[in-house]
Amino acid sequence: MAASAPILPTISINVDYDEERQKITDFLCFFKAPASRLTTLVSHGAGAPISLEDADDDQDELERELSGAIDRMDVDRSAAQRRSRARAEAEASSSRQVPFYMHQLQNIANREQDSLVVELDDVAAHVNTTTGESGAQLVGAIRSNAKRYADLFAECVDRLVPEPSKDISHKDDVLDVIRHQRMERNARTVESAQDPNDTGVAPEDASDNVFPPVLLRRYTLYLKPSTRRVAGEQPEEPLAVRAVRGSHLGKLITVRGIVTRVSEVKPFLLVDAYACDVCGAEVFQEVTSRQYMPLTQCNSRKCLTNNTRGPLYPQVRASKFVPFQEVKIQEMADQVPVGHIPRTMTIHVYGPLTRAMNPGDVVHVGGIFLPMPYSGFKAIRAGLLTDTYLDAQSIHQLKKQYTAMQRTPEIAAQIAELKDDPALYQKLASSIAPEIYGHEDVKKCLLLLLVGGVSKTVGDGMKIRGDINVCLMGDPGVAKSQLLKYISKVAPRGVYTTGRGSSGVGLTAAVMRDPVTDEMVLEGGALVLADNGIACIDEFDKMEESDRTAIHEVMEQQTISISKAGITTTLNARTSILAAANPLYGRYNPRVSPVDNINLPAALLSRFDILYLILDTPSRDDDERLAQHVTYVHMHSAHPELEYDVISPTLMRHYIALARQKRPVLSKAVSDYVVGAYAQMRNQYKEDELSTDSTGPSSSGTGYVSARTLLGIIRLSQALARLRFDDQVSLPDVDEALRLLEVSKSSVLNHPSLATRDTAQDHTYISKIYRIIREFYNTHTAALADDDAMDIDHAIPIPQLRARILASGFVEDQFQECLQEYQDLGVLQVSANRLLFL
Amino acid sequence: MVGPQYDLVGNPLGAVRATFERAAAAAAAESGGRDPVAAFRSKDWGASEVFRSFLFEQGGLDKVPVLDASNLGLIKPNTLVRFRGMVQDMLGNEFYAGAFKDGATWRTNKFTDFSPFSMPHPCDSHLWERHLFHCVPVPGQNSWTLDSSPGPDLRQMVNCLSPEQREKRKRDGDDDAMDVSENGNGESSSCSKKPKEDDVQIPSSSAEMPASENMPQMNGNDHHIPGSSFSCLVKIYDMPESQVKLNDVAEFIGVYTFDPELAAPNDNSDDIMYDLIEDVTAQLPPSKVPRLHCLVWRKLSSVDFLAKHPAVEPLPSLLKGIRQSLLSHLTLVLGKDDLAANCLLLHLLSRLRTRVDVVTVGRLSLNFTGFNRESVSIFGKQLNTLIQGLMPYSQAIPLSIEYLNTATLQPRKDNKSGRLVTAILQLPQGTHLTFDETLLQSGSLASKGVENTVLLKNLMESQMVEYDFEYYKLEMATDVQLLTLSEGKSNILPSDLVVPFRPSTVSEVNATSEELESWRWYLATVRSLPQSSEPEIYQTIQDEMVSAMRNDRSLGCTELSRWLTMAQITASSFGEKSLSLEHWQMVKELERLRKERMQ
Repeated sequence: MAASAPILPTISINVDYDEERQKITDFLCFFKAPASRLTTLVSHGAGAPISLEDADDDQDELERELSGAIDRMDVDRSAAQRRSRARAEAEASSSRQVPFYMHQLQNIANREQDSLVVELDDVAAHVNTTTGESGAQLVGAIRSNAKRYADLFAECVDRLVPEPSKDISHKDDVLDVIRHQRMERNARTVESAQDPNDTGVAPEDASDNVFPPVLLRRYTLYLKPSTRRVAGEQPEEPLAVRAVRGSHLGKLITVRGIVTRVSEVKPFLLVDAYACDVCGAEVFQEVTSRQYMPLTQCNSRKCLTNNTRGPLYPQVRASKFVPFQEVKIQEMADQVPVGHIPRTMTIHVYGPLTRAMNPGDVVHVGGIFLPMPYSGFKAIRAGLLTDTYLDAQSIHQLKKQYTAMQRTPEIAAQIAELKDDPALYQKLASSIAPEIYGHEDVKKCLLLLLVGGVSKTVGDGMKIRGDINVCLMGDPGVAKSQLLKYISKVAPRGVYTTGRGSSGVGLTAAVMRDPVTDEMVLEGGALVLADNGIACIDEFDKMEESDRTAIHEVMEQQTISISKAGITTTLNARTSILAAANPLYGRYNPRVSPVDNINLPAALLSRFDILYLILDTPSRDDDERLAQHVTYVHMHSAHPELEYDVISPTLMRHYIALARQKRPVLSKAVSDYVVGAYAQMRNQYKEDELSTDSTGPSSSGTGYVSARTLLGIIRLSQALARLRFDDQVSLPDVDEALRLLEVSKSSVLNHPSLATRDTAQDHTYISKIYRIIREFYNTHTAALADDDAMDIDHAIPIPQLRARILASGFVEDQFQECLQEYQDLGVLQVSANRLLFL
Repeated sequence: MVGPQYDLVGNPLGAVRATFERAAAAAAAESGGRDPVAAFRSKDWGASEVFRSFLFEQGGLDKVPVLDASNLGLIKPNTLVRFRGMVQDMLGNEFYAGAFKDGATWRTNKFTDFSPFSMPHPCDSHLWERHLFHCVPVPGQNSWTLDSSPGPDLRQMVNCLSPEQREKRKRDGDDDAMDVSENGNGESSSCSKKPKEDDVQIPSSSAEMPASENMPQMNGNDHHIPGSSFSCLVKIYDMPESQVKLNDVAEFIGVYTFDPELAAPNDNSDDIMYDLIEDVTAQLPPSKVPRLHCLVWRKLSSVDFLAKHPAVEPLPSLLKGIRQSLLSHLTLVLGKDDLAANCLLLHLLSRLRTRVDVVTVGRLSLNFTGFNRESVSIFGKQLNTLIQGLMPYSQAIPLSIEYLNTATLQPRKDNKSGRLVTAILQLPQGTHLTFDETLLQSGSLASKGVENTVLLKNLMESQMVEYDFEYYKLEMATDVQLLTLSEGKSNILPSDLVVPFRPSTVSEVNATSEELESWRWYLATVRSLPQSSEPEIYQTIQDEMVSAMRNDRSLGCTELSRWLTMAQITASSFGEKSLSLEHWQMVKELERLRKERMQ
């Protein structure tokens, strides 16, 4: 296409290009690959190097986990399985090696394929059949002088393209017609030349020499940068735009960025064709720069000899164009140093790769970094200045979260070290929002929320959520929001929103009319955007009613159903929910039951695996610590050193991402244990329910133990196992999960401020009566002790007791009930009008 | 290195070339035939050293004219100029043929747009890089800062120009006029203007393409920079990229280049198919946006704007005196409200010391409550005049519903033009902003209004401004002093310190220029004073804080942090390097008085 600019530093390299050509030819002819690769190639259609996720299976899982765009409907798992099975079968049948590139050349000859992707990985893997040389050296040469080698490859391919193996006459185009005609005419002139009387015209050059090779090429050649690590060489990390320097000119590089603008696809002229008005010859002109001078005079032999200077007329139909598109990419936010603004880069895309990028895509673009040849007016400046662009060779779409974790060796080492740390759980938990002191159990819950349990899809399509939902309740100013913000920052895909603050789209999704196309479009709200991540919802209690109903669905089914404006669909919202809510009356009121304090319906509350109450209880210790912290920050301009090493958010994110790849299962023993624990909790709950009746504060809602609780235990213990990178859930995991549940429950029920109230913890008559009994017993035994009657048992006569109870305003029935109750519990024993404490 | 004495101001390029040739010759002798110039890639060979010593050691700085809108047409191209401005946009880097071999000698193109020697073709050449920065006069710059370092009078210099050159200048001026009219006429004229010669070059995309569609030119009114038509494209060489940051204020000294041929209106017809390539620099025509090839540059802080002040040791005794005079002036300006004056002084002296994660240390935004429209017109005006006289950059923003709904506060990247569109909140470090909230009436905020308030709130709380890069937002750290005048406590702009304003008299006060000058020096000096910390005193303060918290449960981290900030500033205001108990007591007294007023 474009020739290199004159201002490029010219170096005379001592390279024998013929030798290089031989190497390339050898590679193209003899490189063998499993036939399965060809089938995938065909299924990809044109075979242009646009790689989407399906291409690399190993990343599939992780990326699918991190996936999620609005447009993504449910992945039909069974279909995917079927496809992969089909592929596996095909692989099995076609694991034989075939000449990979020759096969494609045949396709090109048959005009079934319009692009040829030369993968540098293949070049590197190929061993020269004659010299036995490895291809690594050739790869190095290609990388550093990519444009030249692309041309060399094309030349070799041109020579190697076989005859079509099928009849392709129905695919003839103008060019074929012209070639055909010329051949016929030449044949005629040759015939007539045999007539000795006719001095006539010399035969027109019948060979294809007049046709520039570009004209006859029916493919676009791309070089795909190697992705594999080549021994002894740095793997090609995608560069940031600002890291591309002058020294990269002419080299094959890979750049990462977000697409900001794309131009329309336009025809790019490669060969201009003309027809002579006088002799009728077709003249072709190869265009190599951005501007060129059209031919005006026929230079065919006929016109030259006759000196007719036949005027030429452009023949658009015979000219060769390729689609051309210009794209701008911009650096991602994480590539920009502090205090700088993102840089942009221009990318030129030719041929089938056009239209592969859209604004907003995050891409890895492999291409050749080239200077822009100036011409015309700008040539004045061209002596000094040059613009640059990247000639795209391959495009890798990173649809997913771009931070999709490129683990550097250092991080990998740190993770390995961390993994074996016995205090890992403690350490990770305390590294969550390190500036917030204490709240260790809350942080542990949050850590488990980040890690999450295992999602399951049961055969019949039913899904069991693995995400852990946590609700933090508490007084204003206990750093709930800070915890939420921290989590949303650490999570690979965290969205922080407030129940009320989210506008327009709201939490779920909205149907909007696109102002440009006037089409109805779905716009995802916070919950949809947090798919496969964590939605941190502050002010959960102040949520709009419509959102609250939607959140029921999100929290158990993990989908959002929409039926608005003619659009009926279900969007995925596989998200963990971390909610923060303030008590109903601003501050937590210990005198009212938790349910009354929490302004949320029980149905919603039960969907939270953990409900945690954080209260602000003044203590001198805390005050001191706060004052110390503030002064320290002012004195040293840094946070005080903590007693432990804080794990950096980056490391934590990597660790969690790795942990999330594990899918721990419950062994028989463990599941029996869980079942046992659950049964016991149910019983306990039933008892509580019975013993406290309905007036007690601990009733209904928060304390409720249901199947959801069981799932919660399993999720939490799975998360704990994941933290250890274990494939098996162990008993201690379950114990810890149970402990966390217990702690969270007691934070709500038996909060210290509740306990410090007078002993009248409950108001049921049974316990009141019991207390009277107890008192009576105490005084009675004390009196007996004074009498120092050694052998008298400590039983109380019932009639005396009854008189006392009835005097307190209770009835006989209640008294009997109380006795029965405590006998059942094994506290009391009644025998013949005497009552005994056991 | 004292070579042949070139006129460094009049012919800086001569000096550059001389040093280059010398260095190249030396390198050639040393390297023995190998490429001698390769070593000069992104490295200085001694040229800027020559200029540095000339400018700063031999007092040459005063001889260098300052480039601004008024003298743009008067300065001779290829001479040394100065430009003071803020880095508004970073246009990336540019590749240029830095050095080439002309016959046997190496020549350089550094610090210039085009070579005086024609480049043989082909030739050995080196491709070097330089960084492009779009700089504008500092937003909100107060007039006193401009006088601090005047250049020589240009009108006199113009007379020295040869008549021919003057003629040429004049013609360029005409060109400018034409540019403008051309814009008015639309695009047709620009197409017809450039005569098509017979060797017409058609774009390689063939005749199918529709006739030329010029990119809209935006020379006349550069919509990216509202309210200012002057800017400068600074090209910086040999610099680690991280040194210059966005919104830095700096003085650039370098070669001003202007080439009328390049300045001719760019006929974009050859670019129709490369519709995105649109060189950013093409939007900044040299006739409007001068090019400056920077030889020497330095960042400017508020101290640099002071008129040549004798380098006085900031002794506490001296500072105390100035503090007293400034304080009494502030008291007068604020209608004899002593408490408000004290708080204002602390506010003016505050600066962002550090940023620890999300916590900012050292800022002290102030909210005067109890203003109404009348009192704002009296005291607000006086206050603004005073602040303009004291701070290098300041802006007063009338905060009304309409303003919030219409103003563009957020800087935004325009991906079409590839440039950063500036906005009100693109501010250099150390800017003072005054918000007048008394204009606020009840009404509804449009979505833009909501965005703007969120932006302002973020600025208040974390000293961060989010820039919009269309596909993502990027947070830029700022250091801005914020003063709010409002009727009640402002909820839109939650300030650190809320002080009810109680003036008792109205008096017209004017400060003499000497006074102003000493106050400026005082503010700049005190703000840059280092602070050391004595653990003992902090221990005492800590204990007092704890007991204060026991008495008042509403005290939180922010209050404690503010007290300490105030105490530290108070100490600095007396010129002390470390905090003493006395200052802490003063702050406590201030707090007590303030609390009394709040009730």
